[in-house]
Amino acid sequence: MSINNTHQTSSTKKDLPEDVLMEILVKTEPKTVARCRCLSKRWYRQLSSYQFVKRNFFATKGRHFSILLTFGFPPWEIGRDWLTSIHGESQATAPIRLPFNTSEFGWWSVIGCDNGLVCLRYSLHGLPSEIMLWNPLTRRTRILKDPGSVRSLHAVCIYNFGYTSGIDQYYVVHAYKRSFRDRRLEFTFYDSRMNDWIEHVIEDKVIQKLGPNSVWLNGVVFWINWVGEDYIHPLCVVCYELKSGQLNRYTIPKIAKKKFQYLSAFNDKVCYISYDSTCQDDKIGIWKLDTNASRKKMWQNILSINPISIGFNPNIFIGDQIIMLMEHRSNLMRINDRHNTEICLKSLNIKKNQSKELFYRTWMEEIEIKSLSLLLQGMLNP
Amino acid sequence: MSGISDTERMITLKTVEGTLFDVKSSIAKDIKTVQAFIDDSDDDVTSPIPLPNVFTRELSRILDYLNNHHRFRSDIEKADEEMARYDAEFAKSMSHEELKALILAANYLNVKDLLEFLNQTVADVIQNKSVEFVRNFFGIENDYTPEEEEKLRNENEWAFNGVEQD
Repeated sequence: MSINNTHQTSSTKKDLPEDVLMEILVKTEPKTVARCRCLSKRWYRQLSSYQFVKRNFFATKGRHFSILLTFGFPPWEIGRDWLTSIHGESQATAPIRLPFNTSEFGWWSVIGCDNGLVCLRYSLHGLPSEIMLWNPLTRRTRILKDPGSVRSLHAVCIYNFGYTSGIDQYYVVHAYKRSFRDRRLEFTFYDSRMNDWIEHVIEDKVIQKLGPNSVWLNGVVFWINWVGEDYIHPLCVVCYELKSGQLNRYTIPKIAKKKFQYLSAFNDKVCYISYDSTCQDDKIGIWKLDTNASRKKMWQNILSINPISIGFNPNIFIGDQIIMLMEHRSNLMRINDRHNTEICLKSLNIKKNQSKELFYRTWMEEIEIKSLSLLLQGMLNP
Repeated sequence: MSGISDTERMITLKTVEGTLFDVKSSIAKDIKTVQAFIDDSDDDVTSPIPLPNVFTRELSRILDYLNNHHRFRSDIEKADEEMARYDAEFAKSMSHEELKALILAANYLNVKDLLEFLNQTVADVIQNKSVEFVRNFFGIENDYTPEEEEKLRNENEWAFNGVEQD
């Protein structure tokens, strides 16, 4: 035991041992850590190692985040979108400068965000398009070819992006079908570890229209499969596991089907949000899909929110918080009138039942939210 | 307080200054260094355990923290909220130097939860602070030449936006 025989020192003015310092920096906000690389040569090495960046990411996960919103004009006014970030703690909004400049024919869209990286699909001058992985914090980028560049006329042409659970590897997934009735569902995905694109074809007669919204969860992508004459009936949730190339379908129970449906991630499970109307007295139901559970217990209604008190569509879940978006457009009935738009973002704490406003703005013209994603802060390199 | 019998064994701890603290053995369990000492002793520990690295101010804070957390854990309903409020007050009540001294003591005594909490507190203190502030705070010597540091800062210019004034 070393409890005896240790010498005495004054209780103040003593520096912390290096292992304690390391534990503190592991818990420190990534941007501050990046600055701390300038502390000394020794700390530069310590704080630059992949091992440290990874530990820091997990230890600070969910504490420092922002909501990334793509605003834009209606579809016919392409190329005039802009990106704004809303800081999760301070709610400060800031415009985000993209790492490229598009010409008047260029366009871009956000495919998704995961672990601090943003995945963008863009074209500088119209066609062809490319894919970019971008860490807005460190400003590091990686450009990939866009396999969908030649498939713009396909019925299904969707993307997703994300890391595997160990964050050692990420994928960019592109799924496409020539027509909704086509049995062939084709995948092309980029594997960051192999630095290559892999192709995979699946024949499935149940899957018709996939997307447009999707969820990425630790290497598995989830979409809603829409069927029926106009492809507006949600039949099942389709999931594709990247590592095994396995495709599974989970039939949506009748009780969960409403007019509007949406997929999101909720505490590491996929959830299915459905409601009839945000203005009437019907509740917004949130259903958790547990793919490991038995058929009977697979779908669990975990939450019902009264829309009268909210009037918002839930979009993102972070811990006990739900981030909800309201878009409201109205006609002012004036001469030369244009539509006026109200956009509001609220966060609701489901445990405390408290909500706060994150963002509110009005425009005297028609504005759309084209993407809404959760951007965590991290120093991972694309 | 339910669940804890009145006859619970008490352990006496002695700080550098010689102050004696009586601690319930259930609390002492969370102080791993003390618990290891008890486990290593063949007979019952009856005489005070000397802690030659721990000062009275720090030990009293640590015991205060542990006692309160034990109390919160026994009342599950309000535990989270009250604990969060207590923790926030606890962190606020200390100067930076006191905070560092407490980390040293908690590290030496191996009080895991408290150490985690204090580390997070310091991590929050240095958030958005300048490199100079952090160097000063941790007592780290700068071994870069001014030119080297300038170059490094330019390369990582993004990390220096939005830094608070010291």
